[in-house]
Amino acid sequence: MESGAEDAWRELVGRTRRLIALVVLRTARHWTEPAPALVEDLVQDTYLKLCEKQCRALREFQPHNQDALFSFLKVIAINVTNDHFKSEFAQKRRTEKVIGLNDAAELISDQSAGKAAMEQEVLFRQIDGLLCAPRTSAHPKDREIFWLYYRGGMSARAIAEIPAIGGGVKFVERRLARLTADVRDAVLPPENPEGEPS
Amino acid sequence: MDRVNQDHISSVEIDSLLGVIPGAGGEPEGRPLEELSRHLFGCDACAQLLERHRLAQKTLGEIRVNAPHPRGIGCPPEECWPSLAAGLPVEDGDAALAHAATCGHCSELMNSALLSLRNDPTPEEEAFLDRLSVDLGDLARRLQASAPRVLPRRDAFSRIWAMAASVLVAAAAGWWMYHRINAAPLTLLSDAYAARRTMDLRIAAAPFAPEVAIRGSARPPAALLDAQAALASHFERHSQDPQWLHARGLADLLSGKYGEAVDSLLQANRIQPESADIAIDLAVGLAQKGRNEGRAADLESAETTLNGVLARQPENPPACFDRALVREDRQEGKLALEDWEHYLQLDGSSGWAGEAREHAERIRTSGQ
Repeated sequence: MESGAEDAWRELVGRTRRLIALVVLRTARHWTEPAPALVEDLVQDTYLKLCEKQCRALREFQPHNQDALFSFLKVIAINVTNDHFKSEFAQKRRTEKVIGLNDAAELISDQSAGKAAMEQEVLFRQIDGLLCAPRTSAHPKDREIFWLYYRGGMSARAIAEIPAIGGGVKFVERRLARLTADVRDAVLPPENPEGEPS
Repeated sequence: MDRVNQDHISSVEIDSLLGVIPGAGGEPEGRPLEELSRHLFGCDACAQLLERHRLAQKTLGEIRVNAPHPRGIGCPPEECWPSLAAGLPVEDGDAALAHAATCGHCSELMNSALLSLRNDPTPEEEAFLDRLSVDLGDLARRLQASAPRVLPRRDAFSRIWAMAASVLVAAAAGWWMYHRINAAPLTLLSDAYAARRTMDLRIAAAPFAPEVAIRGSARPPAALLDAQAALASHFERHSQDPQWLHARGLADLLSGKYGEAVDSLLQANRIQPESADIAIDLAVGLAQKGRNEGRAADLESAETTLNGVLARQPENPPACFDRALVREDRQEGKLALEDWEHYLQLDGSSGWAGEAREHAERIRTSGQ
């Protein structure tokens, strides 16, 4: 019977291993360039995570669409990988906790940048007020789309991939173009009295 | 003076020149670049206006949070971002997304999760994955060794498969329920339309039924009552879902509440502008509202909406059918006849086709 159980796991791993390895590789690359051996370990940790606490993750999982099972496995792989690096970097920080001269200089430089930051904050509030105000032909996610693009630096494609926004890349690009034109009009520098077209 | 104003740079041309959102406008709009450059060279006013817009755009570009941003006390748990990016249920997901929009730390985590979740590996990633050598047998043994803590060894095999099967069955059931719940009101509303068709216009997904005249206050079809009950139970939780907004709009349309119908259908259309069915039903709502209130502008909007559908899908029968009717209402007999003739090329045998023939014949006879 034990060999039968192994076969069952072998089947599951064989079908999903490459998918999980790709997610682990990409997530790891946000932290460092991983060695293949590390990716292999993290793939195995992902499967072992499924078995933790009496397979609690599997038991509590509630699928809501046809792709949810694969999404669920990918999410576990991301969390396992991030947890690994967070733990590793936390240990490093504990052993390198002395602030050097360069760090101190950066702190001073940060303080001198305070005025610019304050101006940015005022501008941010002005624009955010505009985005939150009721407007004709507004979309419920306009504020999120605009700030994720301009403040978070996300691409239109990435924003369109957020399921809660959706609508496709073209839709997000169209909303961004519209919002950008509106916001730009609101923050336009004062005109030269002699230069404006009549 | 008019000639000078026509030559001045337009807001569309400013957007094209600044090119801030790649791909947003598709083809560059306005005059060709060489012509614009010539104008800007000779017109200080336009050059200054463009410069002011360029500065404003630069200001927007500087809002970006460039430096690594520390986690704040109001940031949601970091584990929520992969789930949100994958579309899995997250408690207060909307609030978390609104937070990420203005938090550099969380938007970066969300972005990282989205990049990790993409399905299309690059050739370089494929090559990396090919180098991996997971020992399936060893991993299977390790997983089985973890499982006995909860799964008795003697029936481990069946328990694992039972677990996997239950997950898969739950996934399938969840998917089925998701579609059933979302589709049910729209299906019921199509049935309600067909059970008692009280308008000549056709809604997008309904089968043919002959138009009937209703006298007095007849009881609504049971399917409409069922759909309204489903909306009353579920709409609040799905108020931004275009399918549910579509369903609410149709329910109002079939109940004769054309203003409310148009409001919901417009909202659905804004969220899902690519949906031909929503656009067609919006056009029906606008046309009915226009007829009911004697508003020519609504009929014009209905025709414009249908023009949009037919520009994308020239062979969409309900859009063609409805545009012909709206054009008749707008006294555009020749154009309506063209639509009826086109419709009969798409559908020559259904009940709808019978009505199309009658309309076409009537226009020919009246010589409109």
